Amino acid sequence: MEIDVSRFRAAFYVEAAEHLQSMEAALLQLESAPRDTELLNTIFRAAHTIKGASTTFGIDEVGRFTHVLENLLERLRDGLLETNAELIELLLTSVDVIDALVANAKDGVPMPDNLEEVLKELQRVNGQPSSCLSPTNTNNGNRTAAPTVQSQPYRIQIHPSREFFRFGQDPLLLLRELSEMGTIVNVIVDDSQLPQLAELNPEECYLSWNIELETEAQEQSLHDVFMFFDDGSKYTIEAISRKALANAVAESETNKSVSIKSTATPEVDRRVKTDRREVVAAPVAAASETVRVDRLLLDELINQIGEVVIGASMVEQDMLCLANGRTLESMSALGKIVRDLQEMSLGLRMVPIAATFQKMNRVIRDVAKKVGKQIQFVTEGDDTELDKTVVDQISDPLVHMVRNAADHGIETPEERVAAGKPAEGIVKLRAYQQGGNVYIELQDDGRGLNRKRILEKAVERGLVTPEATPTDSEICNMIFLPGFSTATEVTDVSGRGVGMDVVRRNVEALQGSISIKSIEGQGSRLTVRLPLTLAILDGLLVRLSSEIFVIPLLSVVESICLKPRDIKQIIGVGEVIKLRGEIVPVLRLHRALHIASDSRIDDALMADSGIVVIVEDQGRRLALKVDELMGQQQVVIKNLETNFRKVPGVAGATILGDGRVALILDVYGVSNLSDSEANRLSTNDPVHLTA
Amino acid sequence: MTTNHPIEEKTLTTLVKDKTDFEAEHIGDRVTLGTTSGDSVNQFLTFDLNDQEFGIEILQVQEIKNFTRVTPIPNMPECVKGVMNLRGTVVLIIDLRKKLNMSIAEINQFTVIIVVNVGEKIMGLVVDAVSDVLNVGDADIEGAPKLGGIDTSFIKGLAKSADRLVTLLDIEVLLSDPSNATLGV
Repeated sequence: MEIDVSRFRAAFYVEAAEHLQSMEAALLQLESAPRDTELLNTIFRAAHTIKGASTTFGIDEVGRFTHVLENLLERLRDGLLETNAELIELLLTSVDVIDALVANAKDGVPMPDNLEEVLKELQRVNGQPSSCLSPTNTNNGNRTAAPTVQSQPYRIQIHPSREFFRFGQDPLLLLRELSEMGTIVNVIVDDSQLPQLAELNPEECYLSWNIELETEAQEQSLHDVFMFFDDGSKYTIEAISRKALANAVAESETNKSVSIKSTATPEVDRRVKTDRREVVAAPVAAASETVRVDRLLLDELINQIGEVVIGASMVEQDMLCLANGRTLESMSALGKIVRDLQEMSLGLRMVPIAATFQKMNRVIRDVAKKVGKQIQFVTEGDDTELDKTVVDQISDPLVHMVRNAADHGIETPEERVAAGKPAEGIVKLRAYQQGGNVYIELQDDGRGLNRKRILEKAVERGLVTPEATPTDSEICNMIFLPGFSTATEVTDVSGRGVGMDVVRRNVEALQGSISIKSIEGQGSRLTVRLPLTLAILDGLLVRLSSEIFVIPLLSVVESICLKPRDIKQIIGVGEVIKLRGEIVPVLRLHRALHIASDSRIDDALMADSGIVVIVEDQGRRLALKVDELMGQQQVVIKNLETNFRKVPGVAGATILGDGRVALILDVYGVSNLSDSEANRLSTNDPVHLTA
Repeated sequence: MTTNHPIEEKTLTTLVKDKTDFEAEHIGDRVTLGTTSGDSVNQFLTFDLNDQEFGIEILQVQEIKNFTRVTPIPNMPECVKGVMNLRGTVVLIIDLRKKLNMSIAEINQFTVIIVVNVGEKIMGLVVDAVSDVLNVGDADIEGAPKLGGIDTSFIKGLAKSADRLVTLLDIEVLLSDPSNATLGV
């Protein structure tokens, strides 16, 4: 039966990643609880699944490596090996190797260079001669290992269900696996259920097997072979005496032609009655109630529901003038349902941050090991949910932050003890939701930021003038400036000067923000604020003449109504207002965006009164002059680049309740527009409509 | 009569019905210009701009819409009218008159937006009025005139009949070629 497996491969890659993740998590837990058999079982199951699946999909490198790993894990689980730090290190490295091998199969990235090295190490610990592990042997079903003294004969009966193949199972793989565990003394195929050829459905399994196997392996490992049996399939494993084995062999020798060619049913029936443990296959690894859905499909659904919301509110507005009370009532009921629907649809994209946090566990561990520190890693609020895109994209910045905390934040044990702290430092990662935002806090009880050094460095790099007297919080936040790294010597772990600046850029790209609080000698706390989702934005709707623009609420500090003559001219700077002692430059959006002023209002009056929205971007404040505030609203972000290109000063577009398109201002871009406003000849610029 | 072009017959009919100077039944008799056998037939949607007739390949046309309110985009060349909401998609609207360096026309009841697919993108073209669907054989399309030094790459050719001369536009070139700066865009 030749089927195209390539489309299943994608699923394998996803699953392999999950299994590797659970392996890693269990391994890290194992460090503190080396005797936990449940953890060992988890690790073993994950490895076993990866092995089975990779062999099925013909990714032999993964299969081969995992096979060796599995052998070791098996001995570990059976208590033949002791867990120690060295072994866990090796296993963790193995997880990395498998990850790299899977990546190799998936994207063709180069094979991990430590593959052979790790493989050798695994084999050494395993105490197995490496010759057993060559690919020819693992694929060789008829390997005959000489039975040793401890070997025990087993009788195994396999009764696959008719649907066996449908569950992606293959009896051949089972037989192969069994044969690798020992010597198959005898195999009897029961083909009594096999129908006439005309009635045979090639996708159903009609055969069952009786196997006599002599093996050194524990009975438990035999059960593991059948771990993924579906509910309808049954198998039995029975330890038999050598004599019974000999009899069985003799019996089948005499009936050889029969046993292979045809029925063995009466025999099977008889055997079933004997007092053996009958095992119904456990349901596949605690199948959680989830469905895998293509991400694009999901996004499309959410988009469409967004349209329904807009559509419904358009209808509602149209109805207002001609509808009677009842219609209005149904309309508002519909409106509510639609909004609920949208909320639910946005929930579909939400995933807990736990997996990302878990990754940090490993990062901390590795850094601590490398730089010789003792660090306890604590997480809180692992089940806080965030948009999938946000979770994916916050991972890298978090790794960087966590590394920094472990490398720079936490002191060496000696330093800590000298400072009267426990030798073991604590790095705590905490997530929680507040309002429409998710906060991720990274707290360490390390040495905190060294203000003096930061300031020196900032002056040295020309980031501040030597005379400046920045506030404490200003100094702390200098670490986010480009080209800033306080580590006096560049370590392998961090301190290349691209650190926190990149972190901040990444966080801001997610419409989030980052800040730091630090007490010297007591530790630091980094707080990352992220939006729940990227698809929706809280916006302040403002009017400019007849156009409506959306200003992201995130960047809005406040709005003020100006009195005449509040706007002052300063030569070389332009127009400014004085806001509680602070000078804030004014940007007339009409001018920056080239929108004709509202002619109804007297120009002279317009010039120096009206409403300004104070926005903040990277610590820089700007007063945007607008005609009117229209209110605050959640808007669905539409990308202008889909059908056009990036427009300076515009972050995107959205469709308002009445169906018209409003542009979302990019505060950062608009402030740059103001910089180049003077020498900009907008309409004569060669602007191209690149497809 | 084959109707294997992407515009729904209904859309076009409804649209044309609104036009006083065009009888609905004209839709039925598409103007066929000397199609000789063995010639492949090309279909173009023709429209008016400044009393000139232009045509674009019908396969690129997604739909035709009445002119509705367009949200202007700041700091854009004049030919970019802005964006509009096409059933939830934000679509860029190009004023084809301006794009071809003609004077801006007043928007009246005949002004329509032809929604086209250019590569992966959807754009709307503002034109004075749409006329009909023109079937032209290869033999009746003449290459774009070579005028020394003047870029005519956005012209696919000229389709002619006794009393008509239709300029066939290559909107892929016209709207997507970044080096095409001669048009002032």
